[in-house]
Amino acid sequence: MSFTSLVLSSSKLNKKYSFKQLLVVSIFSISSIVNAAQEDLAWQETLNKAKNQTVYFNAWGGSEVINEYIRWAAAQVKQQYQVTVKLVKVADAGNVVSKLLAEKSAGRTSKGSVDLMWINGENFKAMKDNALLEKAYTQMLPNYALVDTENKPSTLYDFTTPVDNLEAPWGMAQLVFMYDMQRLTTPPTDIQTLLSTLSEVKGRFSYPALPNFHGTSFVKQALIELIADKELLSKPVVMDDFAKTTEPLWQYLDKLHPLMWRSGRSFPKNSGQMKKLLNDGELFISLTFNPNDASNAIANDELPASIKTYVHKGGTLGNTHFVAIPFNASASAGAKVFANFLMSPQAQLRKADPSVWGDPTVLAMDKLTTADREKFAQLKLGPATLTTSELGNVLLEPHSSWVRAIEDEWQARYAK
Amino acid sequence: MKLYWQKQLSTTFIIVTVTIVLLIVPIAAGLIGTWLPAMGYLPSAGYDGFNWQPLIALYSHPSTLTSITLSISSALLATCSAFIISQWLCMQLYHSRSWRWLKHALAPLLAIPHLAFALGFSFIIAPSGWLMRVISPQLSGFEIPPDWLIVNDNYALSLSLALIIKEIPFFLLMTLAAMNNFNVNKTLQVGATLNYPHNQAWIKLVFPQLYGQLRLPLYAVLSYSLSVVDLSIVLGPNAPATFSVLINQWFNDPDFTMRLIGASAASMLLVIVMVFIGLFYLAEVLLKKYLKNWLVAGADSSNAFELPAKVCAYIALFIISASSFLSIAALVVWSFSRQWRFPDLLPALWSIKNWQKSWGQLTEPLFNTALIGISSGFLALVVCIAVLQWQSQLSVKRANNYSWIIWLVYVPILIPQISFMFGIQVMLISMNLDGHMMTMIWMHLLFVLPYCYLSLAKVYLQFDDRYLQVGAVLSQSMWRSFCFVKVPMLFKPLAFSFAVGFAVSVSQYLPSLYVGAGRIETITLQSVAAASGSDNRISAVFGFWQFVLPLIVYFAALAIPQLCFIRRRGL
Repeated sequence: MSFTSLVLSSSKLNKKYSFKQLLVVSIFSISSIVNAAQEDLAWQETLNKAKNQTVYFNAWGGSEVINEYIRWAAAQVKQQYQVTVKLVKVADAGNVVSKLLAEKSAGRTSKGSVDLMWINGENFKAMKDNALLEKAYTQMLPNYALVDTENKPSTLYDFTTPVDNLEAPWGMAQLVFMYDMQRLTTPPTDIQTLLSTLSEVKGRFSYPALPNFHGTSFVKQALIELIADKELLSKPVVMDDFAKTTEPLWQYLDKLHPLMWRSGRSFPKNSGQMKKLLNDGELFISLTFNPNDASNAIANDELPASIKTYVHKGGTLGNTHFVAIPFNASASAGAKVFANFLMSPQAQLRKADPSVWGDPTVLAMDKLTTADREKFAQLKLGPATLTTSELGNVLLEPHSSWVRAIEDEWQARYAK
Repeated sequence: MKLYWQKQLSTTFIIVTVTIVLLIVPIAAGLIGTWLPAMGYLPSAGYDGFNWQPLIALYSHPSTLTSITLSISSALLATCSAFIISQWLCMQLYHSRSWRWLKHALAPLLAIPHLAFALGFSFIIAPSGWLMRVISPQLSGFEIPPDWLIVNDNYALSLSLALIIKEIPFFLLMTLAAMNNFNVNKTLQVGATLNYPHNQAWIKLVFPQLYGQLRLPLYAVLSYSLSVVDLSIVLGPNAPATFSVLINQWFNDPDFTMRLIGASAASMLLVIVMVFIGLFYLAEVLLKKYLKNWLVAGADSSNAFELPAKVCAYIALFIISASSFLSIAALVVWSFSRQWRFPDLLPALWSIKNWQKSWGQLTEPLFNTALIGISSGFLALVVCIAVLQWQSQLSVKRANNYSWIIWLVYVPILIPQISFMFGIQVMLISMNLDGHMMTMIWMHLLFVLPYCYLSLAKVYLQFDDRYLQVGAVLSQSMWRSFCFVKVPMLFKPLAFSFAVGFAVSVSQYLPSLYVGAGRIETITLQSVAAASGSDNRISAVFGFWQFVLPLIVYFAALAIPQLCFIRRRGL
């Protein structure tokens, strides 16, 4: 691109331009070539450094579908870049943060045990605030340029915390509900009709107890739909008004809980358990952050074909999940190469396939080559997947300070 | 003479030093590493002053009080019931036809890891579980599972029940070990000649002699029940959860202030455990004092309920073995299933895909688990033999003086893991010891050693050392006599103690997580990660291996001595 601009600027050389102007233009163009060349050089250097490194990728390991995808990606980078990726399956990303905190406490500023980690917004904020992340790096990754930062604002703001190039977008998530159409003919359309549906099929919906991520997300979704002034949610929470502004939420939950599974006296552990309960008919409605979750589960017989997906008509919460490099990573270059590969059209395409994982892409279609765009367009929608228009509005996460306030209040009311 | 004393003293010194360095130093460092954040000091997260804030926050957290109450009530219910039932089973079944069977059934029961049992057990008793499927839909009329709160009930009853079923075999094992201490048969015979009915002879004559050996296992089970995490996550209440689960949740919370609260809660848990061990001891002292007259009053002629008691004992035994067997059976069936929904008794679609898929990932964790288990079990055995050999040479008076040393061995299983593991992690990292196989084996040794010691001590100390002396005279060497006379004669209990240690090592989760640094995968780490998801089928495969490894070792421990001694029946 810089070459063409140089050619252009020289071909446009005519009397209109003063020599001075010309000089400025050419210096600018040259410097941009040099910049690009330097970037290429820097990336090449990273690739060289990464060769033969072993990257310990710490990720939640509860889904065999995802584990298998990661193993596929690992085999690819091994072949393409001679980088070895070892998947460290964890039960909770919090464990990884604990480990990093312990390493920081012990003064280990290099040669850490984690090279790359799969991370969600709350952990990202904590790690950013406590300097547990490596300095900004995603701008160096060639494939980052393909990310749809314009239309997917959550790739720049993770749970409202500015990403600042500290973590690489991996996949898109949107809160969707799964229901069994054999047992429930018309699914709810919003948070209020959920209540009326449950009065007919009492006990067939629940959400995980807070502070579980999915539980908190459901309560945030309810709050967005119920709060009088939605503007408040984009700003930091004001504790003095909290009781008043969230009053409709607690009134709603007080009505909802008696109609829920086990009358709200017990909650599922996580969305994984909810999927099992949906399979057995203990629940008719469950929730997930992957719009293709149902289709994927049907494909591998984890759920029956009668499971469909729905969203609330005003839209549902959406966010992005990322991979981040810790401050003391041993194989930082290798981690960058792997993060870059995870954002590549090849990897993103396979990930978006509902029969593989079905995790929506972070890439912008108009930034891809025609061939790649074709391939994305040809991806078959799963049997229980909603189209982009059916998925509707993506609601932004409330300001991160709301989470603590909501969780505290929820526990004071329902877990004391 | 002087030389002999010096030698004795130096052996004592070595034993004490080794135990302290191996066991006490890491735990002490771990406790300090937890107490500092509990007092508000965690500079890496930006907290560098000492204050009461975490403790106050813990006190004012809405879930704390209920959660502590739940932990205490379930632990007391589980520990006391399991203890009483196990003693009652021994009393009822001793030398009955089922006694031999019981002894053999113990090994597989002990091999079942807590997590695998919990997963299987919840699948049995849940409203959509196996029992309900047996009667659905024909008998019960349920096309969809009823909305009944059975698992995760608010009073932690299902958790307590699972703990009771899981701890009874352990108490039985410990009681069997304690029975080596004296001649139970003779005691009962003497009791019979003095007109004691069987039950009374047991309670007044046998049990008081056993209890001395059961005190520690009782405290260990109490501490374990108060601090259990994995079992409680699966079966316990969740609004709020039991205290240990809450602590675990706080330690993993994205908000770092919650970690300070978690640290102070972990320290609080330690206090709770210590207080309740103290209370148990107090109860023992009081019971001794007030029941003394009754205990020595001789036989009481009234003795009515012999038969129904025996029937109840069989029922209890049946429930324990059936639920354990069914939990494992559930794992096996799940691992071969493709689609399995309520109310199908068996999967609608079967598949071996789960096994094929996981095979490639199993080899490394299986190898590591076996290596860690064998090494820590073997090392534990060596240390146990050294301590016991030293102990067996002590005179009674000196043995009493040194009894505190033996208590050191038990420290790791009396203190809740969660109250020192975070601190240990920091210590190991600062010494660059994390993620190494040797460290992993060492940390497992902390928990393996006490159990090996518990299961070996009595048999070892009962050994008639005159065999050793004769051997020494004949072979001209104490060492040779020790290796070729004493060790072979004790081969059976040594092998069994090794198997107990191996099983303990396999089931370790927190130590493996905190020490392994993601470099050393074990089957339990894989199993817990798989269980955090939605796919029963794949977690069943991991859970199955978690059970099979210890099972193999238990059977080997029983079979190998038999094979070796096939011509030496006298042993």
